[in-house]
Amino acid sequence: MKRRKALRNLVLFSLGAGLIYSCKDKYEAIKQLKLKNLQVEPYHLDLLDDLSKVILPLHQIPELKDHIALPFILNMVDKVYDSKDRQMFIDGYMTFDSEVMLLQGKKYSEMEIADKQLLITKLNEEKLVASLELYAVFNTVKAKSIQYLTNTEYYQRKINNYEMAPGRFRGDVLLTELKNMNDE
Amino acid sequence: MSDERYEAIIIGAGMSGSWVAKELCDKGIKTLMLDRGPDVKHLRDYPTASKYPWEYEYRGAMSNEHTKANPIASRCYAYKDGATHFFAEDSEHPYVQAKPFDWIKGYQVGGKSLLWARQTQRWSQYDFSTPDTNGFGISWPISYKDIAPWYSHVEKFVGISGEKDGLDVLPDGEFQPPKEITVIDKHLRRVVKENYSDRHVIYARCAHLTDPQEIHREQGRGQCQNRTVCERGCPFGGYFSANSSTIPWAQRTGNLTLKGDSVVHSVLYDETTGKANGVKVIDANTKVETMYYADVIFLNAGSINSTAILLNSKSKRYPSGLGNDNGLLGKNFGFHNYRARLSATCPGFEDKVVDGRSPTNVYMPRYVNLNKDQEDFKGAYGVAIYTARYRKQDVKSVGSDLVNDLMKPKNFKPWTIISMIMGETLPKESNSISLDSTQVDQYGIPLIKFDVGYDDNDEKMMEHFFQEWEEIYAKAGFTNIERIDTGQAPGLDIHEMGGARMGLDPKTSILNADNQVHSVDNLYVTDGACMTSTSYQNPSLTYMALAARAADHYFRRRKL
Ligand SMILES: Cc1cc2nc3c(=O)[nH]c(=O)nc-3n(C[C@H](O)[C@H](O)[C@H](O)COP(=O)(O)OP(=O)(O)OC[C@H]3O[C@@H](n4cnc5c(N)ncnc54)[C@H](O)[C@@H]3O)c2cc1C
Ligand code: SF4
Repeated sequence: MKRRKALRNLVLFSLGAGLIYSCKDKYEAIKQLKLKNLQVEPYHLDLLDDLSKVILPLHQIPELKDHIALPFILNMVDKVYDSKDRQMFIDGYMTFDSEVMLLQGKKYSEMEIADKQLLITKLNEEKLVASLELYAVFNTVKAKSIQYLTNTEYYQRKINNYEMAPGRFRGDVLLTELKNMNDE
Repeated sequence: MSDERYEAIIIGAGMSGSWVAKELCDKGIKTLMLDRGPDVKHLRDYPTASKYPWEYEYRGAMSNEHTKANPIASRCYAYKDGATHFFAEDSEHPYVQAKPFDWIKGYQVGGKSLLWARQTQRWSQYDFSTPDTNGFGISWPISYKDIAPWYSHVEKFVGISGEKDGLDVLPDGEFQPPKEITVIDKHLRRVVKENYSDRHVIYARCAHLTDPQEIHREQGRGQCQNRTVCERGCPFGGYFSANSSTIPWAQRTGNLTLKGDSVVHSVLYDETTGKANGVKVIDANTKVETMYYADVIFLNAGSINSTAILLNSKSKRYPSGLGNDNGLLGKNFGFHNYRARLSATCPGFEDKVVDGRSPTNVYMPRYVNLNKDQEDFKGAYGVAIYTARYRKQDVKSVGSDLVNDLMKPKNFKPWTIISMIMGETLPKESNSISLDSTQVDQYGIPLIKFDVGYDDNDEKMMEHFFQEWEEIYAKAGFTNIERIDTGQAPGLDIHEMGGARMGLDPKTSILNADNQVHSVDNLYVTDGACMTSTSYQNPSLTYMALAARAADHYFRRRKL
């Protein structure tokens, strides 16, 4: 029976799903997600947001300068992750500051951007002897930020040449003939 | 109670039932078509059809809640965000698994025709003869020439994109132009041609309009746009579904009454006339029972449900299910073995890519066990071949470097190939579906119990496929060849067949050569339940052809 209703209500639901989030309405956007399994305090929201921006600075792409990946990241952890992975993530961000303090002598939020970049690079290269939870936060934020970017309309159209209709299929095409191959 | 009367009742408004509806209504027969699911109107009820990938909340992933609640449906490749509403939820129709069976269900008007992968290969005379030549099961009561005109009839209306290959193992049909194939498909085709006289890599025929004709325009359908999101419903009517084609066509005649949310409990049997005379229906929402009466009844609820409805139709004359004089109803249940896959990398062709998306692939028809047991296993298999070249996302770096790496459109991975066995399974009494003696569903109907499994023949066939295809891959220069046995349970192939098989002898079959129950001649079963053997092709084209043929049989007989 649930499915019968779902069939009718899908149009309404789908209106909310494609939100583009901007920095300004970060807290509002997260509130709208109605997270069920995550209760993230503003302090940690800012931390995760900042982490995402250091790992993948979306604002460097002019067309996406107002985008932030954070609401998408949290939504995925809340609704798509299983409870074990979600708990790792929660434990990771809750102890992130103290662990980074222990490892680098400074809280993440008090670091200069260059130090943050250094920390992220070390984590990326797995050169830091840190907890699994800390790595879970890093890996999740990185993977989901990438997923956010590569699924934006801009990326799909510009890099993947996505068109819904008329779609096209050519099975034997020279790479140089692709629409965006000569773009810089 | 109701005493609504029609000349014909069709149970199930999916792929096969909609064909019976079209044929009967075209001939002026007042018809009632019942479906347990809600109505799905072409265009009106495709809420996700035009949603873009970036509009999906989880960008193609599924919520944990959804996956957990639907562990069985989630195993189907097409159960994706945007299409889940066309799958029955696991809880909607529970069942008992004596052995693991993944039952994928589409309960709505249109059935699974909204969800299918649209592959439409004819059977050849070899396929109808395999039980005889390979020595298993029973003989088919019909041959290729009985069904060939009906294949043509269906193909013209449905619209099949294909190439005339001139192969007796996979007869040509009424084709619209093929779509393109990939450069690796072409390479493989060339290698196979040079090395084997008995094997052919062909374009897999599929129910997509590539050159719509007047008959398709009359249906309101247009050219396929290669959107490849077909399972959400196609606003162009680019592929065949009951919803875009046969059902609205039948409705336009004014002869069709369509009732959704009508769960058929059983077929009614008149002890005095020895005929089926109606159906008992439970309203899916109110659970109120209603009877509908008719001169002729067509069962098209899908192989499993049609068999279960017959088993549940008990009377003094038929205490173990309607037409079940020989006790074989529910037995000899078949499926396709899709477990074995061979993946590889295809070196070279680095300057080539695909551009866009194709809703189909290439295919190798059977070449083994054509006339007699040539191998140490019985039955046929074909192979579905998927080749692709994906973009490479360089995600090793972080920061500005990561942005730069991701924004480069020029990165591609090497070409890859994955080939999948489509294997015949042998009918046997031990592979069966039955009604559970204690548990019932939300409508008080006994749960269906599955006792279906693979056997040694399937294992041998898979080994044969692996060895032969490793050789083909090596000849094609493919590397990193890897055998994959998905270990998937029967059912995930979604080609369930048998349970009420056709045959010449009422002692060993339930249906005759015209899909009538042997002892109840006004009851036709024209979906996959009728299949005497499974061969290896995607079966729905054959169901549609058999359904149209049986409807015509009724019409001609009725006129006498
Ligand atoms: C993802 C996917 C891919 C597939 N790909 C292919 C393919 O490429 N080629 C191919 O040939 N086949 C394919 N199939 C299989 C194909 O969809 C089925 O073979 C075909 O739909 C069967 O037609 P049918 O009429 O027997 O059943 P359905 O189309 O399932 O219709 C049966 C109808 O009966 C209704 N029903 C069931 N029980 C009752 C009841 N008790 N009372 C009233 N109504 C009832 C259901 O709601 C349903 O609408 C695929 C299926 C899926 C899901
Ligand atoms: S691939 Fe063709 S048929 Fe499928 S949704 Fe797209 S346009 Fe429609």
